[in-house]
Amino acid sequence: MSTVATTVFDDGRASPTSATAAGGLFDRDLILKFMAAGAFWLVFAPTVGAIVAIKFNYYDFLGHVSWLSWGRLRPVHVMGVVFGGFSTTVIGLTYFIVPRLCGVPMYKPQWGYSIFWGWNIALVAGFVSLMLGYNSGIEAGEFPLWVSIPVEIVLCMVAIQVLVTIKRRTEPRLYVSLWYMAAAYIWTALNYAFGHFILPYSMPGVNNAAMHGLYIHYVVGLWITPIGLAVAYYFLPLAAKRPLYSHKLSLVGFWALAFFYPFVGTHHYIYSPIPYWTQTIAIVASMMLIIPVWTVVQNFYGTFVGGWKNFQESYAAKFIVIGALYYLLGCFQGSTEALREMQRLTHFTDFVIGHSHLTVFGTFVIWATAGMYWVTPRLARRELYSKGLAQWHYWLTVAGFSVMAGDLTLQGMMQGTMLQAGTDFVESMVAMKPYWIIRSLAGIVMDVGAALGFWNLYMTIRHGKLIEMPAAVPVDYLPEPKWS
Amino acid sequence: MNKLVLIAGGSTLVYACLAWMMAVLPGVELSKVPAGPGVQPLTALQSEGREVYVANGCSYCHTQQVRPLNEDKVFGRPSAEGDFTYQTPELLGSERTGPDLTNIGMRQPSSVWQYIHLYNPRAVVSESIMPSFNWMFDVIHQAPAGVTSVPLPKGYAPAHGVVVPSHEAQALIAYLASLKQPPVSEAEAASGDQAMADMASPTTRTSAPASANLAPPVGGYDAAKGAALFTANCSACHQASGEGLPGAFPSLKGDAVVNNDDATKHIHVVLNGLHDAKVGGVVYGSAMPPFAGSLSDVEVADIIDYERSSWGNHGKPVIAAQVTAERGKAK
Ligand code: HEC
Ligand code: HEC
Repeated sequence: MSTVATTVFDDGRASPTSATAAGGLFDRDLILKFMAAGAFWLVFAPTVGAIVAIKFNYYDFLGHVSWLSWGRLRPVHVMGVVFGGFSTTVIGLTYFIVPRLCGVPMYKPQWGYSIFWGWNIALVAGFVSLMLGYNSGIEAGEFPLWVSIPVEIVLCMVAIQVLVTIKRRTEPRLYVSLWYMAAAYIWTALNYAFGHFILPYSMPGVNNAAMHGLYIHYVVGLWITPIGLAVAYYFLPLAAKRPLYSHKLSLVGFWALAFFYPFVGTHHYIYSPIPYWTQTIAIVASMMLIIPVWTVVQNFYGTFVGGWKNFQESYAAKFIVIGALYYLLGCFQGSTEALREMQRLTHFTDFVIGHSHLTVFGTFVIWATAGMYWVTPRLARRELYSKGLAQWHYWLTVAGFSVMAGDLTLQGMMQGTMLQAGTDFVESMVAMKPYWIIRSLAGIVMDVGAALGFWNLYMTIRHGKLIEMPAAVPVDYLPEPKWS
Repeated sequence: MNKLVLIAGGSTLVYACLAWMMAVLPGVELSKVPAGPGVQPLTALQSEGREVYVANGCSYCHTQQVRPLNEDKVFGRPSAEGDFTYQTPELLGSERTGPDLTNIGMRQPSSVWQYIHLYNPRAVVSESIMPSFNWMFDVIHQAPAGVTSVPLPKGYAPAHGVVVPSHEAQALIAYLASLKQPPVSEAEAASGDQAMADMASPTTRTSAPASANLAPPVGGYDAAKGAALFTANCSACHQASGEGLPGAFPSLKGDAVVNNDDATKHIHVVLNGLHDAKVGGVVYGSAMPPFAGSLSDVEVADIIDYERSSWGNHGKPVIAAQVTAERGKAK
């Protein structure tokens, strides 16, 4: 068992304290609660996505009531995936990863339950508010004040827990996941406040757009990316049962990310009246993002090379590997998309929507899912409920998602080309209709996959076959269930 | 411990410095830009309408920024910094599922059209995918005095009663009407063109579509162009079929003015608009907007000839010189 925990470090050195801390390092029940809530949001938010997608072709579907209309549900979908599904899951995983890597329990562990309930109630309030039309007007920062304040408090509390725990650690080495987590929580506590308390109310004009570009890309670059990478870097060696290919390379990636991301936000406003030089810097930095992406992809595939057997036997490993593939594609797409000529063609079209799905869903939600697959059966101390359901989850996700990403990319380039050739706008819109149908179908396939998969994890917690435990069970004992 | 300081402190420092450079510096530069000439803060009703616009997610489908690119010309002149002075939060937008609305108050000034479109976009644009916002309207037995009901075409109107816009809808349409690009000064226009030349690479500029101000084909009417111009400027109201919407916009099919061999009135209406007149015995509550400011003489002639030769009409064609003459009269 402890071999699994130790392979996290590239030099293979054991983490001396992890198995012995009195009272246990992590709170199994709390983490499983987070996994269940995350799974719920990961079915809920994409389902809302499917509804808004269907409305492109069937305008009257759930129409005629304000709170189910397209414009009200659209932010519920985006905020639901980013802050609901993805963030709930990774906050839960934080409570597992940080104590395990630090060798000490989380600072103020009793905060965990307040955070769990505070966070999820805030999310419910947020989605209800958006459906009632309380929208701050900042894309990806739409939650109104009464939702943002509790969310901000939660983020600060987790940030404090993470930082103090790292400070108190008994494990001298700082694994790269901790780097990413510490930074992600600090950055996001700042950025969330910026986007929700300052942007909607002050700094009028193009200024507001320049800042909004910064905010929106920070949500991606300083929250979703680093926290997602923290999770993936942690579970990668565990799922592959091999040491990380290169810890040094991952740190190069960390600093490259910290250095280039703050520059790229303005690439949302190429050809706008924002000063030309900032646009140019944003484009250059967007190209440079290839560096951190390359470090990740090299590291991930480097870790797996020679160990594909374990890939076959673990759904966590499968989701990590496919996520890394989408990461490469999505980031390559994102970098080229920032180039002026490419932007001219694709900006304002569904190409951009394709890119956001490829990165946010294809990469990071999929990596968070991998973490769930690894943690849930182990903490529940049960076998995965059904291998078949996991298989369906994986393949429906891959099939549905690949079709959706390809479809959106293609249709965006097509509409861009038509408009450049002088086609009437409404005519170009009509040409998109068949692609929108494909997008909806692909999305529904993904949703069905997710629903099956998360049902599987729920049933694992409830009814999975109990794993036989050794006579004297250490508190933090993690069994080795099959397929996860 | 030291490492923690390095990671937490170092990364936050990097973040702060770069954010300073990428946001605060341009921010300082931008905040010095004064409001463009003619750019006004919104009235109370208009800003209420802006809130309705935000609350209902119009900005997820509609941008409000015109890029200095050929393909954006249909939406207006390139946006300038000074256009946005009074806007918090900004609504530049990120996606054009629908057209840009920077200049919609100019492009579609008819509030009757806006109400019909908002109630059900398909009533005026049959292929539209824009959601209907009919809950912003009340269906009542009879419009109270002083309130005009929305003249919805058959098939879109409710079976009983009349449709009147709620306060929400009125504020929203007032906001849309306020979205007009004030003309920029000569100097700025020139620098805008320069920016366009800078941004568009030479290859794409030359291969860009023939724009409307290229030399017209000599000796008469370009049918394809006439049809395209009609689609872009007129069919929103008069419909592609030319039949208009009963009660809202008159039919041009078999219309007396369109079929009159003396085209003076026809030209006059297109150049100067029309309101409170009787067309085919009906007085329309909405007005026809003037096009003298947005269409050249050749374009007006092309549209008129298209109308005169379509849908069974047989009016005598006109030439651009007649339009020029009519335009001269107005001065
Ligand atoms: C799902 C995307 C979507 C949403 C949300 C949406 N629209 Fe539209 N809108 C469109 C499309 C597509 C068109 C083009 C077809 C048409 O004219 O109906 C359009 C056209 C328009 C036009 C006519 C533009 C022109 O150039 O003729 C106006 C005005 C408009 N929308 C206003 C609004 C307002 C106001 C809202 C919010 C209450 C809104 N739209 C919400 C998609 C959308
Ligand atoms: C905003 C909707 C709208 C648009 C756009 C519009 N019209 Fe009209 N048009 C009207 C209305 C309303 C009337 C009737 C006005 C009245 O009776 O006072 C009208 C009247 C006319 C008439 C006069 C018919 C008659 O018998 O007197 C002609 C001709 C005409 N329009 C041509 C055009 C052309 C050409 C275009 C495009 C360049 C155009 N219209 C665009 C709304 C519109």
